[in-house]
Amino acid sequence: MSGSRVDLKVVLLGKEYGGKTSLVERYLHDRFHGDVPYQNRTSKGRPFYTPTIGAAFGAKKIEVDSRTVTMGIWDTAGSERYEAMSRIYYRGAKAAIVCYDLTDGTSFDRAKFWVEELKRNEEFCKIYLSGNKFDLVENDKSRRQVDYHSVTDYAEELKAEVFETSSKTGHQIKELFFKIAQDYVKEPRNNDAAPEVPKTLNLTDKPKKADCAC
Amino acid sequence: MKIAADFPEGVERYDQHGFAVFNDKTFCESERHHPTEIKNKSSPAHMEAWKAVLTDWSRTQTNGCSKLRSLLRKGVPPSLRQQLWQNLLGCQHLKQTSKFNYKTSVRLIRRELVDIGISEYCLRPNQVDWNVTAESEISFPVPPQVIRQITVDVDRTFPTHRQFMEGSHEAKEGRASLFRLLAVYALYNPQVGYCQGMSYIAGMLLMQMTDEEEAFWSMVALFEKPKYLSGYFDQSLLRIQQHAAVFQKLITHRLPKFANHLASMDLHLLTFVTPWFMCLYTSFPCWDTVLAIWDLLLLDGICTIFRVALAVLRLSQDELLQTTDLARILPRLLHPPPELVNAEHLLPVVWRTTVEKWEIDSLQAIVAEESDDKPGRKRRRRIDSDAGKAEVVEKRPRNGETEEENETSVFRRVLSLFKSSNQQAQRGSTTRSQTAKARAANRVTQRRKTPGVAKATAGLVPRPSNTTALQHSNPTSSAEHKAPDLKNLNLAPTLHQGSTASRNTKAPSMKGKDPDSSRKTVATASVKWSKFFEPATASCTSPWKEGLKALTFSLPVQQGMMIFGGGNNQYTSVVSEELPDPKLMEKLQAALGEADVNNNSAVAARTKDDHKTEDEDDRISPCIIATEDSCLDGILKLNSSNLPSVKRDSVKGVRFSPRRSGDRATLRKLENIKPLNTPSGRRIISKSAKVQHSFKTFHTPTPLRRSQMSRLNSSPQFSSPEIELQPMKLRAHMRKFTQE
Repeated sequence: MSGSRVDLKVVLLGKEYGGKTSLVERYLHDRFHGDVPYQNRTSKGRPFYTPTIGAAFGAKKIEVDSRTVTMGIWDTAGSERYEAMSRIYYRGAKAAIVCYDLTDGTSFDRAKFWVEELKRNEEFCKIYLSGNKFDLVENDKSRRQVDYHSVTDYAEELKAEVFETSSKTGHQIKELFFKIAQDYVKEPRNNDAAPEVPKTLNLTDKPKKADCAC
Repeated sequence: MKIAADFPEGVERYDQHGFAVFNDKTFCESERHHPTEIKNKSSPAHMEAWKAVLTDWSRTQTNGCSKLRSLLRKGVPPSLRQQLWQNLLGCQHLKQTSKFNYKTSVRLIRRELVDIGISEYCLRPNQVDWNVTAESEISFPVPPQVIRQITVDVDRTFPTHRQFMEGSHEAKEGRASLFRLLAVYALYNPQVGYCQGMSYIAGMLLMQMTDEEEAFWSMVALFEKPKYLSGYFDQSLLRIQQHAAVFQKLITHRLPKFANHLASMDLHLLTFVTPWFMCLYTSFPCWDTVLAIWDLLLLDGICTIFRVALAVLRLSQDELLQTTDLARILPRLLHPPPELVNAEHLLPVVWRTTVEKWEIDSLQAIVAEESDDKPGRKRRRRIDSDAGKAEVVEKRPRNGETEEENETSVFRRVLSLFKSSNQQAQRGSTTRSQTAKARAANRVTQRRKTPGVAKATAGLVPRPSNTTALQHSNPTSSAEHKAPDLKNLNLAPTLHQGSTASRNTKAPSMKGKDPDSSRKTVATASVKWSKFFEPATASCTSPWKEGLKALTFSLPVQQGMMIFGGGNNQYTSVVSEELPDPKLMEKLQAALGEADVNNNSAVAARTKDDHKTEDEDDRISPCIIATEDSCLDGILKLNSSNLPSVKRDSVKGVRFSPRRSGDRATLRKLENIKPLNTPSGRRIISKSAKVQHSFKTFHTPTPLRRSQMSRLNSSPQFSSPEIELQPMKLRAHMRKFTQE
């Protein structure tokens, strides 16, 4: 943390083809290529995303409560095989956006897996569930495979937030990231209290120093 | 407007490599850099030289590719690249020798697609209910989940290249063939299946190769040959992680400042090295550079990826050192800007950077050892269980094979056969019981043989290191000339690919009985095949792992004989397909048997009839199993009296370090045999001396620990002959230290 100027590490996890890359693209560059003629022509409207190998990284500054937070966003590969490597990406993350595809039921099972993994390894990482491709289910309810209420129930147990986003329309994406930044700023642990952190650590580590402090 | 009609909407033109240039320049600017001027500077003389090199490929190879290398530096003419790559990858040979047929496999895949409800020309992953498909009764050749992944990725691979781009004319076929390539590979190697990242490599090959089948075999070569990416895409992705660790060590030595800088930022190398390595730099924006990197990669193998990575870091180092802002550093590494990685800029640095193979190999060994060093685990214990540990790393069940026992590997079993038969021989038991053991041992070998049938072509079978090591004395080519009927002999894969489930083999466990043997690196004492058959004599070379013993001897064996030599945990084997002359067998058995009696070592022999009743599909015919000692003595016997037809000078010589007293005794027995003092022998010695020196100065001031040595021996993840050679060299180094 000391040198790098990224305050808030955010990691995106989820099944492959679940829309993680386009979510990040949308947020960072505000593009789903809707204004490019070529893009309009294509039936799927997302031809330039490539499968993520390892992970992609992007950073963005965001202003919350008159404080500027630099977010470093890790967009990880969804392929199950890359799971072994995912640790290096979510290590030390303050927030994790666990993505699932609203049109793919199995992707939510995968999301649950990631949640478990995070809970096990990163206790300070706040979890945000993001159901992607909302635009597909918005018009055609029959395509929805993941029920909203079951997700919220699940999230309640976890104390996680749920967003249903669409990278195509931009639905809820800014809100999602804003919420992450807001929670980060609100969290007293992160609140410009850098010197406090080592102090508390020292206190617990060495009772001797605790004596001194008293 | 006329021209525009030929391009998809929004595309201005295609550049010389086929990537789309868009009207809207701000759009996708990071994807590809398009060189403005078209360079076509291949002079006629240059072209001629290239053609000469390519047409006379065998000569190019025997010259050590030096001519090729110098030409490569000047650039490859695009028109000849396809041929060059095919030659380098040896895909023709693969295609001819493999039993796997591309076209029939495509038909299989198509049938599956019909069942699933899509077609390769109309890949709509969203239209299929994959869960239903997965649960269906039909057994698919390729699991539907794999098909789904491929389907999903085909759409996204090189989305701005004319061959794969939505809306371009060729794209329909291009994508379909990309799909076929990947799906057929998943069929070819179900263990690996499909992994993200493969599609880029497949796409690149399709761009270069006109024929889809050629592209497929090139891909197989790239993915399977130890020289290239074997193990890169397997389930655990272990090799890429190890390579990242190797690279970490490499930059600690080469670019210490940068390594410190990374460490201070707590930035893991894997974060940016993964896309570089796994996609073989296809993510770089300058396609000229990518092609040149590939040329070099196909020539030199995996070392090139380190070379390029070092070069890139070296170029960007100054800039990266100035900042600790991840938001500035990472994008530069993940998407190196065109001005950094354009061909004029980067390639000279790549050529100047040298990364030696042995360097990578030794680092790899150290990394492998360190990764085993879990805190709280005692070194002492590890040394004791060296032999067992090697197998843990080796675990790589293929084709549904399951591990039955972890601790008793095939090697230990085979070894224990020898050992126990040895003991039995001491007790004066009959050969009959040993015959049974031999059968069991043979069965073990066959078990190993059967699974990888599709891959058991000569090129892909992990070549036994010893044969390459000592090839000089016995050039393969000459052997092939003399014994053409053996050329296509399906040399069995070495056992060290992994432990296997040998159901019937009930070998007495060695545990606790012989601490001496368990200490040694059993696992790497894989069964070595001698490739150098001649009809009349089969000579077998095998450098003993322990103590740099190279043993060369000749036996008057006809084709059809299999010999295991297994004393001191070492194996020597000769395999051939046809049955030997029974008379000769008898004689040899008599000779070896006598040696057995004299020496208390085991000999077991199988006859043709035995074999038939055992296993019908058995491809290895009668075998003689003997320990090292009995082999040696067998020759002595053969030399002296039993087989008068053998001339004394057919025994070429024995060279090994008289490390153990037993060896010295053997050496004394062989006093009349001249030590190996051939040019090849000298070359090996001088080479190892060189390596000792550089390894010492470069890496470590302390001698290698025994555990390190065994790790080296047992790097089965990378069964490349080059790597396996390393232990020999290092061992010499080690010995020097211990003597001091």
